[in-house]
Amino acid sequence: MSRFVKDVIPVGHIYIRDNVLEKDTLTGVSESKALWAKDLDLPKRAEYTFFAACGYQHMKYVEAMMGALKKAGKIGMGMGKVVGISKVFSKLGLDITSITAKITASEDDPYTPVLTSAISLLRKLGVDVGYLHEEEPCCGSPIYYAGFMDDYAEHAGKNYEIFQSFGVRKVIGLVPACTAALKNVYPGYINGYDLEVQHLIEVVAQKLKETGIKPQCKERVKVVYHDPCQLSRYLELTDEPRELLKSIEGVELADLDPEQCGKWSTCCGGGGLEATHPELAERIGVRRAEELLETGASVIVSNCPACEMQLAKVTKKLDPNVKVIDLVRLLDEAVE
Amino acid sequence: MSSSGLEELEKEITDNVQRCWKCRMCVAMCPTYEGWFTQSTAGRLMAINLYIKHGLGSEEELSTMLYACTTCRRCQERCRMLSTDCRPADTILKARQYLVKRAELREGKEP
Amino acid sequence: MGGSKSIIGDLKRLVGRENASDSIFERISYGQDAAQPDLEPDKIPVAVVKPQSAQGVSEVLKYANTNKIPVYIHGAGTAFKGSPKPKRPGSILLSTQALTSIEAHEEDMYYELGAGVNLYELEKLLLSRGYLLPMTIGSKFSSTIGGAVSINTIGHMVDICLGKIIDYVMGVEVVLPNGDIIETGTRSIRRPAGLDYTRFFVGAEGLFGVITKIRLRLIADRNKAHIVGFFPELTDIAHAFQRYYREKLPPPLYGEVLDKVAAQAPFKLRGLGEPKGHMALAITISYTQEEADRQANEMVRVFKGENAIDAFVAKSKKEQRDYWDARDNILNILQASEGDERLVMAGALEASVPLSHLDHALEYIQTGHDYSALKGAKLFIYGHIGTCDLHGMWVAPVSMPQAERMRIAKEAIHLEGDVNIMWGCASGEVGQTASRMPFFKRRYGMAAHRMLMNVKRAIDPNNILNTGNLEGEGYE
Repeated sequence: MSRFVKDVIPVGHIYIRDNVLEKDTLTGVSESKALWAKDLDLPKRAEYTFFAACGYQHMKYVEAMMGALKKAGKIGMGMGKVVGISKVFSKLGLDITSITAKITASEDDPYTPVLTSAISLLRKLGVDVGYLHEEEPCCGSPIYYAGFMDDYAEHAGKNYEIFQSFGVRKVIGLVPACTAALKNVYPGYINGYDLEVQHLIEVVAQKLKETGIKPQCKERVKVVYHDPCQLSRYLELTDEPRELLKSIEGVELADLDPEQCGKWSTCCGGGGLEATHPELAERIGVRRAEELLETGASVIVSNCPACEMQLAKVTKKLDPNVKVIDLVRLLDEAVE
Repeated sequence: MSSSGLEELEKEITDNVQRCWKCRMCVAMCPTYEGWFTQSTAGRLMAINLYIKHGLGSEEELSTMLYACTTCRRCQERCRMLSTDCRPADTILKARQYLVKRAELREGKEP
Repeated sequence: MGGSKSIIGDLKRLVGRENASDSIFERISYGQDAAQPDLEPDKIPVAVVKPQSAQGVSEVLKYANTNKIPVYIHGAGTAFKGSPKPKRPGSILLSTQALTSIEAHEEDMYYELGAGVNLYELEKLLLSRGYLLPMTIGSKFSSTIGGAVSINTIGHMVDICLGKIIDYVMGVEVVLPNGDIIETGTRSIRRPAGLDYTRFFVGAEGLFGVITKIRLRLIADRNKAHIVGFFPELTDIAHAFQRYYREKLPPPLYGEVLDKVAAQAPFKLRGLGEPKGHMALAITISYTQEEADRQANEMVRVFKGENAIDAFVAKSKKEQRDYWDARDNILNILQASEGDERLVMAGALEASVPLSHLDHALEYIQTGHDYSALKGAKLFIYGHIGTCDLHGMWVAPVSMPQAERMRIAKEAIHLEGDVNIMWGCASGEVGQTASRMPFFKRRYGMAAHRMLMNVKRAIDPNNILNTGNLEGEGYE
């Protein structure tokens, strides 16, 4: 890594780049990507391949990592300072695996269950999918947005070869940014790119219409939907999530100012910004949370792991009674 | 589209900013805007353009500004619907690529 | 007076650390405008300040006055005829954007607004309370009430329908160049007869003082009807409005034109298909919907009588919004391409003409003049034809060399002056100083200009406010 890059690019992005290129995951944690799916009996090869991506699997680690980094004062732009993150951890006497081991699933982790809900929901709607398990690569979006074009091009090329070796043709993605990468960005980097990529919400919306199933919520609840930037502006999916929410009996969908939702949805500040400008990210999060809470809704629904982590964090301080839930989990619970 | 050369990136960036009309309609849309132009898309575009054309400002200042963008793309949508569609979000991303590329190329020149 | 380092230090002490900046990119951002995107490195301001109160503005002006430092005043700095740009080196850029107080006094029919209140936010607020904001500025998403009042502009609106903004300004709070804070006007809807120096500042383009607060009279919202027409010739639209007024029909709130080539990109963006012809768009207003509709039907009749290919009242909200946005979001016209290349603005004109010469003006702007660079460039025509105010924008591919683009820009300003002088008028939308000074001197003569310079010297003896704008520096 050029030392000049370290002078110019924020240390957070460099750390994530190392994770993506060396460990093929966002956080560098070497937990197997097959873990969440171990009881689900998903084949590696299938007509439709489910792309789980790092987001939902790693959010539980991201929170702990960010916390530790913040405590160590090692977060932020860090320009001119060469900071090896693993050195940071060992200096603190922390072992990264011991941190992750402390995190248990379910209660502390609302993210991994989204993946199991996604498969459960697809199955209820008659869609069988495959999953690459531990072979699934990281799409590389973090390094794309950080500006490492050459690294990204190489990484994307390798990923495409992996997809080809497993006969992947049709992809159903879940994390908006990763799905957008496979759908819109990869074609520009790979000659003859032939993957058909859809987002899970598109598939669910279509299948729900076909099967005529009427989703039902056990209790009446007023929700407000937060459009993730990647889903609303990069993937341009703004109608489907709302239609799905409206179709659930018992769910009242609150109205937001039209200039704050849909394709104009206000960014929540989650995702990569926290690694480089944490205070700014928090202020942005608070501004968005205030917009959402003004509707009087008791539940915020979204479908992006970064948004959900960010909104959960800021609403805890603003109004602890408000819950943040992923749209896929809500749908899975509402569909028999 | 594999990696653009440095010159190509410079041209893409400055051409896009030439198409920016300085209407500032993107400013209110930017989640990072807190009262100062450099905290908005318009400010970022002006900065990278003048940095490339006139060598004004420092790489560090520029980098802090560019990496404060959340890549939410609201500015790009705004510019498309209300203004000249100068692709501001894409331009900011290109600017990041430009900084990385320049730093990578510099490696070969100094000990 | 010390160097730049001490200026920023002094300013931070005066207005607070967080309200002043000497970051190079901040200073540049505030020192640029759309008219002249080229940078003049020696004219970049040394500092940008955002005072949080009139008192803060006063401290800055006292400081600048004592040390003879030019101060350029910005709302959002969106005026595109050269006035926001610094004309002298070593200046302070004073932004009123932080003056955002809003006080409602509906029982006395006014609101008191800080100069930095955003126009779009204000428009939404007033509408929510049942009032109309009596101006529609193209840049409303970024512009401020202070900026609009300092130019006495109402943007698109037809002057003779509701009046210009000065008719709604009951009084202002102003900081004079020596730092004195004064107030003007009244709290009664009966404005002072005779000496009311509100008028010294409304429309004074920041030459005599910094407006910090505006007392804006409220006007109730009205019922509206939307008329759209397509015509084979631009002069047909001129004839339509001439006839409408000849028949003594009530002035509409808006009377707009957009030429059919310019309209292509905006129409495409909104799924409106190919424009059938040059578009005319009008909005009539009245206390009752029946009356607004009746006026609209009269407008349709007049349009049809002047060769309209199609003329109708737009009934659905979507139709109304789409056609209006196609004209209002005018910068969409720069989404057009010439072959592979996207287009940029090279030169712009905004001129007012007497009603009886609307058609002649349209012809003159297109083909009647002798400016060769303009004749060689692609021209878009649009504007507020119903209030006799026309816009022309000459566009060029991005690759056009800078020198050629500057030629087009210069010729456009000259043509604008010619059109205004030919029929004894002055531009009605964006102010008269800076790039328009050469025209102003031709139009009103050096005696008038000398008088204004004397007034300026009397009120601003050290010539610190918007220095060079009244002189026309940089635009000789």
